[in-house]
Amino acid sequence: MIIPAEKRRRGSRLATAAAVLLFTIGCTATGFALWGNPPPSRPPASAAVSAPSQESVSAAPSPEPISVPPTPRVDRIVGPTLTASEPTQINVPAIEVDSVLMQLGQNPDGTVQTPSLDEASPAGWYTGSPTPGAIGPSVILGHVDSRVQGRAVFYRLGEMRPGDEILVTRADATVAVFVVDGVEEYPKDDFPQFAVYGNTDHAGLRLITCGGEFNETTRTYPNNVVVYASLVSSHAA
Amino acid sequence: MNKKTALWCVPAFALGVVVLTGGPAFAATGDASYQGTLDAINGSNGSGTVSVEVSGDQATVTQTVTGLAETFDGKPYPHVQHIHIGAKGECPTTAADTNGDGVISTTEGQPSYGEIGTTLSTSGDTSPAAGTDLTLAGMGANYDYNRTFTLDAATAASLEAGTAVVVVHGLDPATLTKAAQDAKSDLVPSLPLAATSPALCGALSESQANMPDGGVGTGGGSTSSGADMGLLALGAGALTAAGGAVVIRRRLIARG
Ligand SMILES: [Cu+2]
Repeated sequence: MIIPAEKRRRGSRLATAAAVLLFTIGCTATGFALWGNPPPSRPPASAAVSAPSQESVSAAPSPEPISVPPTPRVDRIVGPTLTASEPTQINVPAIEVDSVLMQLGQNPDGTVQTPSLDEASPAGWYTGSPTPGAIGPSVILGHVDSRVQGRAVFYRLGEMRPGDEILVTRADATVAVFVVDGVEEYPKDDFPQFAVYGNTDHAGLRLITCGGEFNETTRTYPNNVVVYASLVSSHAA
Repeated sequence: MNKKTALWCVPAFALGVVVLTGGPAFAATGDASYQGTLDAINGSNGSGTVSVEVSGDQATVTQTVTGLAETFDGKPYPHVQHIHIGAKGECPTTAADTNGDGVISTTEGQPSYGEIGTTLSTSGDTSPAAGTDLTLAGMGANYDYNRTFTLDAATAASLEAGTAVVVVHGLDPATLTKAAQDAKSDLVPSLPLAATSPALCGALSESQANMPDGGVGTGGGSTSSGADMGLLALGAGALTAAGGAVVIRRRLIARG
């Protein structure tokens, strides 16, 4: 048997990965604890289980087993979903947020764009994420503060608590109603991409801003605050 | 998962802002993106994440694995890993252990995840032929894997069909029953069953969001006496855990 010589080339990348994973775990644990949804009902995924019984139905002696093509899995969906429609407005009564939404893509370095700090900026929907109400992690970003306007649109985001409502008005004149599942704070250099932007089995929403103790020397915030929410209903605007 | 870019909440970020006028979420990239979470199987206690970015006939796989068996015969454990294709696109349950030895062998799991389509090797051959070459395997308990290679047609078709599954192999023999410890591998009879049996499994699904890099620069610092950050008990726990990871990183650097 061939066993390779020990390699140490992976160095700090490896531990960074470990840190990311720890955050993912912490976050997932919270998410599960806070999700009040009942266990999802199983769609016909069990159809695959019953497939082999077709074999025994054929009574005629057959030298070769009948080949049953595998049935690809069906990803189950939990809770309501809406068809895609771009968001235009966000309203969060618990922290008195009422903002139109701009659209934000990615910077050339692959990071997500943020609204301008030179003017009183609204919050923005990340166009690389699903529209609010569609299945997946829809992402809305807002500044915590800025030099021009002082307290910015998501200044109070860290006050949000499970059960708080988030209302997003969409271009199709529907209002998507989300309820907060959990609130987390992460160091920016160990941001858990999979927890925030990874696939979900429901129509999810993430509100993101800066957090932690502002560093006067580097003039940066070290952390991000992320609010996790799920679609519960919708109504006409 | 690119961490090389530091992120700042400074006004310089405003320079990069462009207001887009809608369009589909993936307009910027155009090509397909898949992802999966790697969950423990056969009681390995490991975990991980994996993403596959497809651009033309090129695939870039980015994977993070932690908590697997660390050593094998006193050396870093070679965890062979593959994209399995062409079956249900699922990870097997314990019901797949048809011989009842307590281990879902690679063969027993195949009705769920299928045959090897691509070997996620550290260098060279990525075909099924390299599937059990231990010299090309991810090594040790924790590792990052990032490689771009030419994607074969069968794996590409399985990704599109939603039936591609990433499987990482290699169990700690000490966690198995005596009988399973003594059993030979169903793939390579010269190896023990533990060496080739599945340890992590994750079905790949098309990504719902285009994952950006790093954190988010959403603060200008005018209210530097502090925003209303509600402190979270679990958040604090996560910060403590991160401190632990930093310590690990320092130790690794010291060892290197
Ligand atoms: Cu495999």
